[in-house]
Amino acid sequence: MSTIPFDVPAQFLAGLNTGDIIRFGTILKDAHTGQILGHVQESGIAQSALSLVTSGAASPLSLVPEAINAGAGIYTAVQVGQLKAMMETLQSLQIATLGVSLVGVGVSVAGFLYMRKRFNSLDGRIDELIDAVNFGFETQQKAMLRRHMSRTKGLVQRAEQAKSLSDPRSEYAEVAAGLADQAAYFEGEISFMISAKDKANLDVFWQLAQVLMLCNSVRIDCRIRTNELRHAQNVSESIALEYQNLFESITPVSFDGTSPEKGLAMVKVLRDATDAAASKPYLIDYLRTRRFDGQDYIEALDREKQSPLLILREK
Amino acid sequence: MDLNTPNSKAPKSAVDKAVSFLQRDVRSFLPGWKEPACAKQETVESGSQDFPIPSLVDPAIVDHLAFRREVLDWRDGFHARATQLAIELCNAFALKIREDLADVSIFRRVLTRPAYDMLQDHFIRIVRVPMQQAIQQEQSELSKLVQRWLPDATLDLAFVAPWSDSECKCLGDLDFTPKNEDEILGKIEILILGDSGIVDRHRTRATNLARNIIEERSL
Repeated sequence: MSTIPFDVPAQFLAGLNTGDIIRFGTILKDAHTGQILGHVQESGIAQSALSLVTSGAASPLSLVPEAINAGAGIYTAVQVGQLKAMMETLQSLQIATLGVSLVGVGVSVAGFLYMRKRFNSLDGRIDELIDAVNFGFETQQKAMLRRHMSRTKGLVQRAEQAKSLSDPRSEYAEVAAGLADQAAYFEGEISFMISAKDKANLDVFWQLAQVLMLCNSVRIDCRIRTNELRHAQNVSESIALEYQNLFESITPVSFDGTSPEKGLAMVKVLRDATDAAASKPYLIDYLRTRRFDGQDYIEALDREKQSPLLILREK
Repeated sequence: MDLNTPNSKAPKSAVDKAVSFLQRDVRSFLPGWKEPACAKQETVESGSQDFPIPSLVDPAIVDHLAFRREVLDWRDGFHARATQLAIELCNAFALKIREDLADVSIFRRVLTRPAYDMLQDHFIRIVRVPMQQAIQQEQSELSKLVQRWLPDATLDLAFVAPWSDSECKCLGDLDFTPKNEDEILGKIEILILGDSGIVDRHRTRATNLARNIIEERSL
């Protein structure tokens, strides 16, 4: 196995502060030469730390404060310390909202167990929202949404359990294909919501967007686990284009009854998600052209027990 | 950090070997059989070190995406700031209208004056001037952005004032009396915040400008 050149983010923060390094999405570039220096990637403990906060249920505006303030209650000092360290680094990189959303930082969601937990909180929240107010969801449409949520939940669960199979590759491939179908459904719902004559409800939009992002993150992760890097790259490119087309027309005043400030926070998350999606093909391309094995890459991330965020160094 | 410890690959058991044997493509037992090229592609890419694997991405696109993001951030910020300002100015103007209506004398309640006459000057001072100043500031920020990314571009970045010299004509022949308060306030709100109102037209202009600027910079 080739040695995967990971660094801790601290080594790059000084360069970012001085302007010698610039960030786009999760790509770090040399400001002078334009060369890609590295890619930000969450490790296995990132999702574990983030599962301390029920970010799936929060609004975009409260995501980061909620994550930063987590600490009271049942959590261990180590967990809280990891979460705070992660949030500090994400804030230094100016991608804090990206870290706590379900976009995933990098190309692996690093832990299906925690993804499923966060999906469950989303699932409950969507039910609450649709039951509480009539958002124009017809009974049939609601039943359809429920079916797709259940199907997605089942697929994430299958991804989580796949590693116990003697050869999990076909299972990962099936999960990825299934999630592609689910993502298409959620994309359609979001697209419909955006193009409707009435303004969108921000809370419902946000929950659906999170489910879409989760589906796509897990899809790519599964393809990397099966070492189908070229395919993973193609998929990540189409997802990037899809987010660009889907979210570009949305502005802070696209939402009903929402202050411009709250709308702007929502839009910033969408822009960060679009940029992060556009960064993924570059990371996968690097893994592919350097002949890193997808499964080895994931395993290296899973083994990391200290730093929730890592930099995959190119130069 | 313990990032690169190789996994110990456990030797295959007899059962694993048997399963592997049974899973083999029956054609692979035939002499001269070769694995299809498509099945080998990833293996070759992962295993062979003989040839470089060509990259399929263009780093130059990252610059374009960063530019695009900056333009969209300006547009989004414009929408949020202009809308917030318009809400505040609308509230301030509504307060002034309420105060003046409360002060209307009994004589003026009988011999009324048109609301337009009473409010236009206040509108200019309370709404038009601060809004124009804010829009000019936004335009200046946009000019700097365009100068940085597209120094040779000759784009018209002006925000044409979406108002006539007499915005309050929208009040029609309404008289300035307390009994018309709700109607006056409603029409003023539509003028400033409504569909195709002042701020909506500014937002539309900002959206179109952002689109034109993005299209101006080809890859």
